Amino acid sequence: MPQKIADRLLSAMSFIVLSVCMACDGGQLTPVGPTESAIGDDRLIDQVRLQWSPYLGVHVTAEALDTYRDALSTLRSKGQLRGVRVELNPNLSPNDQAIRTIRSTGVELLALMSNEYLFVDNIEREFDEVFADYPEIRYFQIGNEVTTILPVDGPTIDIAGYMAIFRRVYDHVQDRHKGRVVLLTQSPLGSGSRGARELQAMVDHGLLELDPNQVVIGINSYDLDSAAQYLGLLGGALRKYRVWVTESGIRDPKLHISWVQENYPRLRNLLRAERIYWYTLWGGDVGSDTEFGLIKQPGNYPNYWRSPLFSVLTAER
Amino acid sequence: MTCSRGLALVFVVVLMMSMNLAAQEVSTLTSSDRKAGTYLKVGLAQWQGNIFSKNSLTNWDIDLFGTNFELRSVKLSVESYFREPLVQLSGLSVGYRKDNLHRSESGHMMSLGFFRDIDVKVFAVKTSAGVEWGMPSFSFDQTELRSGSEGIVRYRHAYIYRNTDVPFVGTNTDGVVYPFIEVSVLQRPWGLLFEMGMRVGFPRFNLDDYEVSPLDTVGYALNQKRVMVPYMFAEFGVRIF
Repeated sequence: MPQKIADRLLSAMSFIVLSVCMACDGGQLTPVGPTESAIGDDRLIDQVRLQWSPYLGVHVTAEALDTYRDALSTLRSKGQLRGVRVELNPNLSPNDQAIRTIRSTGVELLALMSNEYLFVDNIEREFDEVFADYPEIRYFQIGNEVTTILPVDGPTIDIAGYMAIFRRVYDHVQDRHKGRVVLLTQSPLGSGSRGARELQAMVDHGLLELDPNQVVIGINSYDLDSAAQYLGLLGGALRKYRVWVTESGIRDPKLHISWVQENYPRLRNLLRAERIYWYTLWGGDVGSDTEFGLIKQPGNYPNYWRSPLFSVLTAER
Repeated sequence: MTCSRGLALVFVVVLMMSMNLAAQEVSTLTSSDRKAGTYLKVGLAQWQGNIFSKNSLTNWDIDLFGTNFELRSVKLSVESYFREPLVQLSGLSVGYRKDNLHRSESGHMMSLGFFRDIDVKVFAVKTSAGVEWGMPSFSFDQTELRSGSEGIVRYRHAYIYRNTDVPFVGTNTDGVVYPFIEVSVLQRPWGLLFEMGMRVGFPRFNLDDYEVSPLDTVGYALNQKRVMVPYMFAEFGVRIF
């Protein structure tokens, strides 16, 4: 008799658990690709533009100058671009053609100071030069995914080391450039639970000692699972700090539109993200970042490939 | 009268009936008449509200249900009816609720409650109280961008206050624990159980207003208040012990 009861109980619970699991979608997004007529669909255009955040990551490369100028100017002229995130490394000249092209479009720049800067001896002096070379740039992000994207054969850094350097830069900025420069923390890896643990470690290593008026929290987020990991921190210890999502998007142009429609509002709701930077304008024509790009084949200027999302953002109304 | 007002009225009437019946010491079944047993229950729940509106969950009003907030849940629980009342309690319930079936990473709530049921012949009225613990649905996190002039950015972030740890999720405080009360009517014919009612949770919500000037000066108004979050439910159960 007890065995019979146990069997009934087990069957009932298995059925219910199975039903719940089937009803859920595994936490993954279920975006739907755009139709061919997306560009002519005024309602869709309005919906996408309503959710879109006018910020974008741009790789600094001389391979796409004309196309960059055209694409950025077009987005800007449609009111769909206010700022771009570009990576500055110690070897990049402020007169570099690509950076000059991007600067010439008049968009606001968020300078991602490459991870290489974390290992220079006199980072204060290096940053003084950068601040002087780029007087129009106000926002500087100190590193990106610092524990995960540095090559294993080079120098690496942990969060304690990173926060020591971030603190040096912060103190220097407060001393010499207060009111001129706002710093962003490194954005941890944008998937899984590692990012939230890193941000917690940054809190443990003194992040809360820094003025929320002078520091913005950077987060990369490529899925809601990773975003959900930050909720306790952002609603608790980091409640007073601003949050920018510095990378987001999906590696499939057919799903770009639905990503913006569905996930931009979710990222705002969960992370109170003031800005969301799309990754990326052009991810190269080969490689793992290609399908994130809003454009491809910049060598074919002016007939370069435009993603459905780019087309919707720049469509005539 | 709108449907939502009607539902609110039903809730109030049921609550008052329950309190009245308890006050009159309606004869509960004697220990020999009382149907003891343990039931496995499944159920559906429906939530509605609007965190931001005047008639919202954060500004409690008799109009329980606002307009733009909707959430459906499934419930699974085991409920045990004592043979004899124990310290005026008729039984206890342990449950799991999955809020928002479209997302698996959130909306997992466990509950533990004690109840008292009073037989009014046709059906029984049951009042419960307890605690819910778990990872709340993302539906409780909302950010509303407000219009800003001259480069000023304003927004309000309203979210359930996370005050406890949930293992394997995020950092130290990604879960919630809060009290609830529940009123329901039920029938237990043969080895079955039919029940419908309303549960009201009392989590805390943070309501944070931000204003960022063009020169990046940040103004805050950070508030917290306990909010009544109701939902309606219907459940079906089978006696297992």
